[in-house]
Amino acid sequence: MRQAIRWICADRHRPWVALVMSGWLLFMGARYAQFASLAAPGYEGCQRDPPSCEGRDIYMSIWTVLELGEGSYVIRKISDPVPVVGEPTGLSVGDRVSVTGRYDPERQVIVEEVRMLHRWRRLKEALSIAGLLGVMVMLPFAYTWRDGAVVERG
Amino acid sequence: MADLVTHVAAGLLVKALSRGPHLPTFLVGCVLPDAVSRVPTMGMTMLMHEGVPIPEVLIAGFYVLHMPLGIVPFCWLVASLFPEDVRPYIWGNLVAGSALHLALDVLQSHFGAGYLLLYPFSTWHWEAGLIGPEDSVFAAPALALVAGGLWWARRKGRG
Repeated sequence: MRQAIRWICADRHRPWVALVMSGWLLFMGARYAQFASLAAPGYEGCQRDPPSCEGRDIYMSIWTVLELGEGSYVIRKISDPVPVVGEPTGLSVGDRVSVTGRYDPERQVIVEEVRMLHRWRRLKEALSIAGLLGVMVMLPFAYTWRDGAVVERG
Repeated sequence: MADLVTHVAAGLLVKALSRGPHLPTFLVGCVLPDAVSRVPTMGMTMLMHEGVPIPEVLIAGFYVLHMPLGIVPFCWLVASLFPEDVRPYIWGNLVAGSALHLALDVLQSHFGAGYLLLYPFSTWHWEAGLIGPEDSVFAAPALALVAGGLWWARRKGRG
């Protein structure tokens, strides 16, 4: 094992290993992008072929509330907004919610079954930014550039 | 994902207790999965919502950097920037920090899918469901204080 790691990390193998590692990441990324759109089609996939999705449960984990209506609301994550039928009591625009719902092909909406309001999401995002900034501030104190390579200080 | 203060504090705690070297590199590993997958995807999503034409496949592609078989080669690419003699230790610490990150993340519960731990060899997904997605925010301040205190005590002990 130790020998294998030394071989992978040797300078003379670096260009080839870098090529293999980058190629693997590109392959994985392309494959996952295809998998994500096909395996769990979600609302957008159901819209392409509504009858095939009748009664199917759709999971939407941590989406943002865009609009509130009478007995309905609209949420969005990456792609187009999704209309959800469900009482929006306790929701405000900008809130983060997770929703499990059934696709209704006639009305082309998601009928809410379970909803979770992520009340502390903004605090979590703020803490994440703080943690990331902390590490970024540490970088120039921990590393420097010497002889064409990054080296640890101290 | 747990918040990054929790991830950094957990990393600091592990290094303070183990007294291992390469602390900064281990901490970089602790934030790397989110920094190179979540941050770009969130940024690109925000730009897309502002009308910038970004293909969704590009956004989805970055998610593999939050998977075990995606982050390990990425850590090697980062380690390849370091001199040959320390490269294995840098790679090891980046991978160990990232592994701690993913281990904390799989404790959570989300609606729908868990984490794809064996992708691309399997689409099996799992998470332990022990804590809610935002529960770490309550632990973060205490964990940061304890980890910071231990690290400080260790530094002082070294003289």
